[in-house]
Amino acid sequence: MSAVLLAGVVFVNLAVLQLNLAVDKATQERTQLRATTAQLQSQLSAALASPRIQAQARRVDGLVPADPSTIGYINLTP
Amino acid sequence: MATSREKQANRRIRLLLAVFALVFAGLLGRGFWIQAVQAGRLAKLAHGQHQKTFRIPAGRGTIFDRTGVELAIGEQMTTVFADPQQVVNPSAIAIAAHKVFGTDSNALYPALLNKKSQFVYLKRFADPLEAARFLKKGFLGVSSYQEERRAYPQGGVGSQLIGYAGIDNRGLGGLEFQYDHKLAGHSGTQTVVRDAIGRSINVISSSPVQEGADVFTTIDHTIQANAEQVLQAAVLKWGAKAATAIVLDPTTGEVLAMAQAPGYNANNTGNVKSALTRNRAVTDAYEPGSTFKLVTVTGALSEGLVKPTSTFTLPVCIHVANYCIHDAEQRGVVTYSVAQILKYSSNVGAITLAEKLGKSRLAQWVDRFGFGHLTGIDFPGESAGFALPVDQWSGSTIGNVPIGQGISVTPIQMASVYAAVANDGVWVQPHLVDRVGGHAPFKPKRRRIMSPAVDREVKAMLTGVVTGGTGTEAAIPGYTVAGKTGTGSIPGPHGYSDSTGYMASFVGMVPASKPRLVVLVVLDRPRGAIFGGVVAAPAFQSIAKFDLQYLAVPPDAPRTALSAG
Repeated sequence: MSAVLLAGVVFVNLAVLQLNLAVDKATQERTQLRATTAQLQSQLSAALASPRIQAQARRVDGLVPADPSTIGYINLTP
Repeated sequence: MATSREKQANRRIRLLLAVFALVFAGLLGRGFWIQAVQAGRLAKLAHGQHQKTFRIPAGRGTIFDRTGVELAIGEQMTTVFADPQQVVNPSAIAIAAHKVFGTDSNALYPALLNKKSQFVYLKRFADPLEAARFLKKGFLGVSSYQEERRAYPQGGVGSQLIGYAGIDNRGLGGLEFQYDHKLAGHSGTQTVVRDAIGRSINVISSSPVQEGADVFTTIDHTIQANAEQVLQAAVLKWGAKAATAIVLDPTTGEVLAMAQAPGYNANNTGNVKSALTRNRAVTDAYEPGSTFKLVTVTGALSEGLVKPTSTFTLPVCIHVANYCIHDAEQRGVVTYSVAQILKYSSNVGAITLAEKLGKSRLAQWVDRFGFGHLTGIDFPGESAGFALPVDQWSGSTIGNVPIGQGISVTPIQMASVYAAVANDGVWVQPHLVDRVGGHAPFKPKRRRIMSPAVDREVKAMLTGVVTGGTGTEAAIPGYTVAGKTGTGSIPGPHGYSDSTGYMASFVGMVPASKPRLVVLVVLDRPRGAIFGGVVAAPAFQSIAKFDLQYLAVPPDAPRTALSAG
């Protein structure tokens, strides 16, 4: 009886140890993923920056901002 | 009787007993020494070997613009360091650090040889992938930790406004400093039991991390970037020392853009001069010149002394104390209405109105408009400007203040005052941040400066400035524009007689029929031309024209567009 109890205690302790190791590994992965996410977010924001896109559109595609006076507005009120 | 053999055996047993007793006493003594005398020290040693308390740093909050684009964000980096006392191969580490991180190995090698030191940076804020590649080499005495570095994805856009965080990730300027306590959060701790190879096998205690709150600004990064581009072009064209622009929503007090030129890249603040990091729109005061005539005219109208159509015969110059003050452009004796005084920016006319108003009522109106007081904008280091108390006015002050000299204001004060005109006479506190984290949006202070009737009159007169006065360069086809030019002389050490240059400005609102935007542009010491109507008004027009298109504000005067086309 005591032997079974002792074996059970050892088994539970081993299981807890293994779970703690898994938690440690998951925490490390989470930290790494957060770092990667933040870095990607920063890169995305930099890529979406208006001045960069405008400069590239001007340089690569030869686009220029539309003259506001050429834009027409439709008044839908009766 | 015991035989001699038995006696010898007993002797041996006693000897063995004595030896055992001695050994046992020794063990007991050693046990006492370890368990009682040395217990504290050894427990501490063991504790240090298998337990470790980590500080879990809080991530710094992100600063967003009004469209949800990140203006400042935290990037997780890896800092790699060595303990010279544990390092066994310093030359290999120095060479590898040079190869992977580009660290100067000649400087690093002697530092690694210094056995008195326990900490040497191999690379601070290393790219996590590079750091992992280096750590994989498994050098003894080398370790790493995660560290957050502030990054500004928009580069130079809004750099003076957003400010910057230092190497320890604390805000040192701008909004980063103003909201540092909210952005920083609170770090947590975790105490773990580690196994022989350093893996944590149990968490003994922990305190939670409180992540930094995000800050949501009122800035629109597209409007901000365009305003900065326009200012850079204006500075280049006019050889100005610097330029400032503000774009305000007059009904809410939200600042859509607060631009400066020259600017700098916020990701590289190391070599930037501190003067360049200043947000002049809030911290610097200037003598505004004619944009201040708004106060004089509004005071005279509100006190019922004049109407927009009231006329005055104005001499070539007006004598005040020992001075004879002229208009900016030479002219003969003219008869101007109040509206024309503003339209042609007549100094003589404005001083005539001020004399009618009297110095004490003029001072009250200066105070009522908020000059000499902080606007309370959420930005560090705001200047209140300078308005001389009425009891300290000299004989010439009544000739200076009505035309915007002898008084200094900040660009944000001036923009918020014109925003009050745009907002039917109600001043709304300008602000840069809408909300922090999940908190309720900021509620700006409001106060009425002038009656709606006077406001309508002032607005109509300011429209006249752009349609046929000094501000025609600010006109935008398709829209009505109301505004005022300003050319303030910068006094030298001996006053205006040795002026060091001019502050050229234009401040206006569009569409004048129902203003959506108030835009102010100030150029510091332009060369070639000095007048606000020539130097600043075109910059105003470029900024406002872009913003109206970007915000899809329909034209309120389509005919002007057709005639312009």
